[in-house]
Amino acid sequence: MNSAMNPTPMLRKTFKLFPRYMTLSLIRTSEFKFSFYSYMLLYIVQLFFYVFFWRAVSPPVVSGWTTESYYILTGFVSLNVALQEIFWATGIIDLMILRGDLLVVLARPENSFFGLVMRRMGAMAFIAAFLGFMLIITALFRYFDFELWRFCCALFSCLCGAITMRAVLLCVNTLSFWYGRVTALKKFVFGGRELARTPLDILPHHVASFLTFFFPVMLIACWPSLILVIATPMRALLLCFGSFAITCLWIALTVFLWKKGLKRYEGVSL
Amino acid sequence: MASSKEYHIEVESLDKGFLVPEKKDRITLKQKVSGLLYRKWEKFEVLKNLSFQIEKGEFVGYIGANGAGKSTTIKLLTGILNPDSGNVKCAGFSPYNNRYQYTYHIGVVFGQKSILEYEVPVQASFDLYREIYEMDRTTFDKRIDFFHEILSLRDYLHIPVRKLSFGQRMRCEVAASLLHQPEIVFLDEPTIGLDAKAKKEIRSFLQAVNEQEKTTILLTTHDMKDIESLCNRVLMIDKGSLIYDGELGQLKKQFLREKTIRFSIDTILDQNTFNQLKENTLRSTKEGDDECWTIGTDQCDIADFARELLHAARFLDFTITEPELEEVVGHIYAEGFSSISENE
Repeated sequence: MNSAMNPTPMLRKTFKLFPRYMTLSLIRTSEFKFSFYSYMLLYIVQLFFYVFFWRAVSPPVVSGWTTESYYILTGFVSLNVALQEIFWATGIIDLMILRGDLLVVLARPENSFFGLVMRRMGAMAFIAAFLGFMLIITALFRYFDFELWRFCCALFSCLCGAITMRAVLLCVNTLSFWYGRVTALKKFVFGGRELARTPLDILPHHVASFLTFFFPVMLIACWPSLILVIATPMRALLLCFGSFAITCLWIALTVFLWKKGLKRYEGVSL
Repeated sequence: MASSKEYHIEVESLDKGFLVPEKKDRITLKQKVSGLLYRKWEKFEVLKNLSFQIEKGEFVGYIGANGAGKSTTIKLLTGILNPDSGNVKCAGFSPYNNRYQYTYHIGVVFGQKSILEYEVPVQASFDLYREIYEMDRTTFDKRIDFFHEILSLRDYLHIPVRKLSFGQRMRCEVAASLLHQPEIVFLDEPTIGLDAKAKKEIRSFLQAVNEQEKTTILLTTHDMKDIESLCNRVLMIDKGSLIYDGELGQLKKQFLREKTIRFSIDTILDQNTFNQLKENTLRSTKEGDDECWTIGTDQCDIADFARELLHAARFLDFTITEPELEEVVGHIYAEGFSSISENE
C-alpha cells in the first residue's frame, strides 16, 4: 500500500518533502494575519534602513568598494539572511533536542535533521529574499554592467554562504548532544553574522582568513559582491569555487557531528 | 536455521544505561565551585538483560512503575536510542541500524508528545504524513474513511490542532500514527489524561486495528483498564528487568488472592455457622449496615464459602467483589514481584 518495501532514498525524499513543508509553513503563516503583515513591514523597513544608512554615511572608496557596491552588499546580506531565515529552526535545534522534539522525527522515515528544521520552516522569508534580490538587480542595472555568468556565480556563492552559516549554527547546536544548552555560543554566531554588513576584505589578511574558513561570514555578502562587481573574472571564479569548497567542508563537519551526536542521544523523559 | 516460531519483535539481553551526575549526600561549597569545571558522572542502568518475544498480531501490555524502563524500551524498539548491548529485531529489522527503512513499518504514539503540527489544520498534518510514508491518494482516502467510522475523524480534520480539545487531539494523534497501516505500533500512554468516552473510543479503535489488520501492538500505560480491555498478554518490568511475562488472567489468578463479600443481613438463621464462617475470614469490617468480609481464595473456595453463608442467613443485599487490577499491580510495584511471590 505504501513504499515500505521500496522506500525512496533519503536525500531524494528530503527534496520531495520540501514543497509539502513549504505549504505547511505558508498555511501556518496565513493562520495569523497580523503576523503575516507585520513580517512584510519588517522586511521592507529593514532593507530601506540599510540602503539609506550607506547613502547617509557615504563611505570612502576602499579596495574598490564604492557607495554603489555597498547597495549590492546590502542586497546580498538581505538575500542571505532571508535564505537563512527560511531554516531559522536550525537556531533552536538545541532546544528541540532538549525538549524531545527529536523523538518524533526519529520515529518516522525522514532525515532527522531536515525533519526538525523543515517542520518549522519560515517560508515568509522568501519575501525578504525577493526584496534582497530586487535590490541587487536594481543596483546592478543602475550602476554596473550586467554579466550573466557573474550574476549566477554571485547568487551561487550567496546560497553557499547561507548554507554555510546554517551549518556553523548547526555545529554549535549539535554540541547540545554533549553539553545541553549552548545558548551563549549561538549568540556569538548570531552576533558575528552582523559583521557581514561591512566589506570584510579590507581587513588584514589573517583576520580575513579567519572570517573565511573558521567563521565564514565572508561568504554571506562580501564574496558574492566581490564576484559581482569588483573581482577580476579569474578571481571571481576562484571565489565561487572557494565558496563551494568551504560549504562542503562545513557540511561534512556538520554531518559528522550530527551523526556522532545522535549515537549518544539519550532521549528525554516525556 | 529458522526458529520454530516467527516473532515480530525479538528482544535479547538488552542493556541500556544513562550517565547521571554522581550522587552525593552533602555538597560542600568547594565541590559546588569545582563542579562548574568538572563533574563526576556515574552510569545508571535503566534496562538490565531484558529479553522477550512478541508474535505477529499480538496485543501486549507493557507495564511497570514510573522509571522502570518502559519508555526507554519503546525508544530502543523504535530505533530512537542505541542499546549498550543486546539485540533487537522488529519486523525483520534492526531498529537502530536500519532506522530509515524500519520506520516505514512502525507507528508510534507518545501520549505526551504531539506528532501533529500544532498551528495548522489536522488535514495538513495528515497530508504531510501521506507524503512522508509515500502513500497514494486512494489508499489514504480509504484509510481516513476507516478512521472516521470509529473516531468520527472527518468532523475535525479542518480545525487547527491548537483549537482541538485534548480528546479530539489524541484521536487524531493515534490516527496519524496508524495512517500508513504499520505492522507494529508502539503506544506510550495513549489514553493519558483522557475522559472515559475518549478512552473508550480509542480502545475500540485500537482493538479494531489489531483484529482487522493483525497489527502487532505494544501498549505502555498506567491505566489498568486499558490493559484489561485490550491485552491478552502482559509484560511487567521493574528496575529494568522483566519480572512477569504471561497472560493477564494468570497474573490475576496469581495475585488476586482475596475477595470481598459485602452484605446486609435481614435475619441470621444459623448463628454457629455464621460465627464459624466469620472466623475463617482474613478480616471483617462493618460499614454502616453493611458487613465486609475479606476471604483468602487460597484458604477456602469462594463459591463454597458463599453457599454456606447464604444458608446461614437471609440477606437484604449480597455482593462478591475482587480487588481492582490497578490495586494488585500497585501492590506489586510497591512491594516488588519477588517478595510478594515468596510471601505467598
